[in-house]
Amino acid sequence: MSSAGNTCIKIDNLSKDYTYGLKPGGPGRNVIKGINLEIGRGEFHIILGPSGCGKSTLLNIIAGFISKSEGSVALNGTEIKKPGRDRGVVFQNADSAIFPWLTVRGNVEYGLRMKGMASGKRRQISSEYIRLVGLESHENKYPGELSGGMKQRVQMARSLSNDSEILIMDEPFGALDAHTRRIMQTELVRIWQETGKTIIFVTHDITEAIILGQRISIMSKSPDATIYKIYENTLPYHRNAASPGFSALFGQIQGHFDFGENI
Amino acid sequence: MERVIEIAVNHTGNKHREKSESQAVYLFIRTLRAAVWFAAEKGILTWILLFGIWGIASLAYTVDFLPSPLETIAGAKEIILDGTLVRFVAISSQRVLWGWSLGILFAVPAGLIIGRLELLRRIFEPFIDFLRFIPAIGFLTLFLMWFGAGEQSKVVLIFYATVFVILINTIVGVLSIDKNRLQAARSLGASEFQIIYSVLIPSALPHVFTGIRLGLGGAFTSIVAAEMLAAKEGIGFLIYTSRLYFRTDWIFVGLLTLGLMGYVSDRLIRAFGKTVLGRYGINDTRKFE
Repeated sequence: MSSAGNTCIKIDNLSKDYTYGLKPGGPGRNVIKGINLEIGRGEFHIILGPSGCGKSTLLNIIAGFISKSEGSVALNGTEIKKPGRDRGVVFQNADSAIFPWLTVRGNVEYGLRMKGMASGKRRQISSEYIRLVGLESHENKYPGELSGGMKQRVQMARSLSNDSEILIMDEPFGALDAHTRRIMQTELVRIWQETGKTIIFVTHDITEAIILGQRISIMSKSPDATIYKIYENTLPYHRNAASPGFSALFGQIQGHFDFGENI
Repeated sequence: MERVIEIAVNHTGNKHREKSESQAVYLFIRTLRAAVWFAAEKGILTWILLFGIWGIASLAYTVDFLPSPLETIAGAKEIILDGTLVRFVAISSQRVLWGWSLGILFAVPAGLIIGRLELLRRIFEPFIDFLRFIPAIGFLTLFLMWFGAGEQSKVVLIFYATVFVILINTIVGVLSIDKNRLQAARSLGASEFQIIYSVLIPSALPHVFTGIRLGLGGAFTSIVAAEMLAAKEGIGFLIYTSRLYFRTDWIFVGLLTLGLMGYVSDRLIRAFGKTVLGRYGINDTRKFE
């Protein structure tokens, strides 16, 4: 690979089967099978697919939460085996993922505290990222006092302040209302541009995929889900859903879903 | 003319009086309603009702069978003034406090470990589910044999009575932690040891707290039974021996004291939970809107 130095995540022939029963090789099924994907450093990569297609399985393997059955997933050439602070995760359900007994600042500082960083330095870094995600003046609130969008901002700031290289986002705006979702999409693009992080973003919303992604991987249906096609999205940010380029891309992607094609 | 004026004056006067009368009635009803609601909200009404029914019922029986509230108060005054009641309350409380504290100190860490490690859970759960159905009082004779008739056997008994409910609640607390919360902590770089104190304990706290509250109830139940059978002092002893002197009023004093002790201590624990541990989600004033 000529661009090996710029590859962040390299997925090779990745499969995951959930085997039922105790016998290895017994009755089971491949949720995902033979996935090959390279994600560049600083890339905004979308994984798009229908519900239950194995997007989350793929994401969980990259995050290190579940093991793979076959193939390899490497970050900067090192095989991923377990979760780590190099891969920050933003979960769809913020209520279950952020710590309700900690304030916004406490949540944002969590990773730094686990690292053993001194409180003065911690405060400085957390302030920076609280400002970046637009939560200044809310830093002393508890999650119970925050709206859904604000909770997702907390999740982002928490991973960013921990200086994770990649942000893994699992349908993070899926539970938000349409208006808040639009705002959060714009915010995410801004944060991505300001920080230059690699983002892997899972969604089943075509519009969201086109608004956000530089490349859009389309997954086929499970079982044996795989990456069916990758679209390059060169439309300039901030993207306008009413522009001809947007509509054309939307039409192309929608076509896969409309006509089946095993998606 | 004069007559007409007189009639007119009378008429308006009457009307005025009628109006002020109906206003007074209205005001009275409103005040009464507010008072009843206030009394109900503050729990006063409950007590008035209880003592009322008790008082009426006691009219039908002798003092030896069912003393009236006033006779019970008189009986209470007797043992309060000679210091017996206070001493017994202190002794029973001390036993409860020791056994319960030891129960918490043992059951909370044990529950965290058992809840966290599946192998230990598989080993200990059947054991816990077997033992917890044997009431503490069933062990009394055994404990008397092993630990003597002194304080030790009672403390061990209370310990036994509190340990299981705290243990089970702590285990459930650990098991009900959302997977995402642990995954988030790991992704943020927390080690498994750091996760124990930074995620496991705070997340399980509401359950642990419920276990601790329930444990205190178990402690009170068992201490009375134990003191009835094997003690020379304490509230249970008071209840049991008053029978010998036909002092039914003292039995009532003992029972009411127990209720009051439990009520006060539960209030204290809840206040502690709400103020100190409130941010962990301990909350007993939820409105189901």
